[in-house]
Amino acid sequence: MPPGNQLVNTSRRIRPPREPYLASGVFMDTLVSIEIAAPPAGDLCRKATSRAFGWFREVEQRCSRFDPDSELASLSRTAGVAIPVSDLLFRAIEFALAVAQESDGAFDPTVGRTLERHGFDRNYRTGERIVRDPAPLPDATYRDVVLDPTARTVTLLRPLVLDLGAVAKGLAIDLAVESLHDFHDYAIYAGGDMYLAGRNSEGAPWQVGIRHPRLPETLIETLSVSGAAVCTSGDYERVRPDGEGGHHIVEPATGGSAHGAASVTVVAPTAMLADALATAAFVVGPERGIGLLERSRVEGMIVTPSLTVTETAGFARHRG
Amino acid sequence: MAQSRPPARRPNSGGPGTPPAARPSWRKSRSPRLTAGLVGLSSAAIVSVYAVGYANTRNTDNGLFQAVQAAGPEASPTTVPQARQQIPVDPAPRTFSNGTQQSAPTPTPTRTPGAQAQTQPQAASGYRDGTYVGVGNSRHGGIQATVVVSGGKITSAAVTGCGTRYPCSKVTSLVSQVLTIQAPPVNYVSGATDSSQAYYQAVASALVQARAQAG
Repeated sequence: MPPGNQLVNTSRRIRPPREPYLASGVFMDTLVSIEIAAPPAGDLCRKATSRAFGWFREVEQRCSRFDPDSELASLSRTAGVAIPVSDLLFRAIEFALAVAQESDGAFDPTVGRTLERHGFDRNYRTGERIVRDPAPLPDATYRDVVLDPTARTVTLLRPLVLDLGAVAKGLAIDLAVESLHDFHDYAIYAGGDMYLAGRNSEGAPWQVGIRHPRLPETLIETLSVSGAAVCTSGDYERVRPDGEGGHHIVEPATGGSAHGAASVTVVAPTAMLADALATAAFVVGPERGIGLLERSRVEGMIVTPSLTVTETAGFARHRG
Repeated sequence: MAQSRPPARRPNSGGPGTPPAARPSWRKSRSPRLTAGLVGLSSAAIVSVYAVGYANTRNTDNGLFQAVQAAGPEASPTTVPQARQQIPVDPAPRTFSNGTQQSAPTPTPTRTPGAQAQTQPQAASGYRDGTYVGVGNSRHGGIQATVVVSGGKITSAAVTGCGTRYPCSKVTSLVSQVLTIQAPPVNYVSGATDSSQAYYQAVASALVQARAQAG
């Protein structure tokens, strides 16, 4: 170090960098971390993050397909009757059906039974397997779910199993974002999906790497993000436990694993939207997928199994 | 495309369902333009659900969120300020590479005794010379990284503890990246890759200490 530098350096001591506040826990079978950059002193961070985690717990209790006591599970046991549901569950189903309609059924929240048949049928907390007797046929579609917005009821026109896996985690992230409204700079990270507000602890926009779908420890892209959610759906995430090969993203039309993409990343104003559209675009593949993302006014990048990358027109502005 | 995109995250947030909480300043500054389509629908849903939850709980810190405290250790969030924490991700004891048994949630040592005693002047990088230990968490256990700063530069960022179910040799290719860039390349990784995220977090938390020392 050249002499004289020390003078410059001492000036930094006037404003020592503040360490970020970090908290984490396991919800929805995934690690959830909250980072508040430049946190204020006192109890504010603890209270806010506790509230934020409370939303993860609440969404899980309402929307889990695996927990027999969840509101969603009890709804899935009753067909042909209008069931009054909580605002949270109603809104989650309403949104899932809207994405289903927008994607012409490429995204479909009624694939629950198909997922169970693929072996995704164990509660991660208890290890218990879901048993259905009689088991509904796996050929239901989103058109078999009818909502009454006035009465806040959901009617399943036939026996089916709802799955909100591609909506619930995003919804929980978004509700956690609302809980942190006292802060300007923070990150909420839930197993690869996230919302990033303001700037990181170095005062720069958050740097987000996108995992290469075939090289686990390599980043295929780096983004610079502030005030947006980033979600990635990949075929590497959860392998089918039934040994038939494939992964957790179902192509509703065939009942098999979708092969339109290796991974899809979406940058959107809400995590619920990013998560659902990443799944929908994954199913339809790059050609229709980019159209769906642009029509929905979000940005995204689709990597095909042959590693061809296609992106929306505005995606480049997120490149770090 | 980029121009036509509405900047507001919660475009429909002014309705009757608006929670009585203070609006964040970043929201006030955005255009209140209404947006149709999925962006608007998702925003409206979140605002509505939050408002209902807020109304149910505004008079108490417990209420709706009591379940968090009542739940088992796996569901309980652990909060430790100052970037040094170990969470009980997996209750099973793990053998760290130095041969010691560590059972979560025993806190991991976060700084070697020598680090604090260092009196080396801070370099342009903003890191003070010393040895710093950071921990990163993943769903399947924690990773401990030891960062050595010498002459203001990161000279080593090795994995010194591995409590994960997968072998930590997976992340060795990331060490040279940190040495080249002199920082973790990103804050977060999208598309869950547990091990990379945990390693970057471990290095970042060690570097926070190096910077705090420098400040």
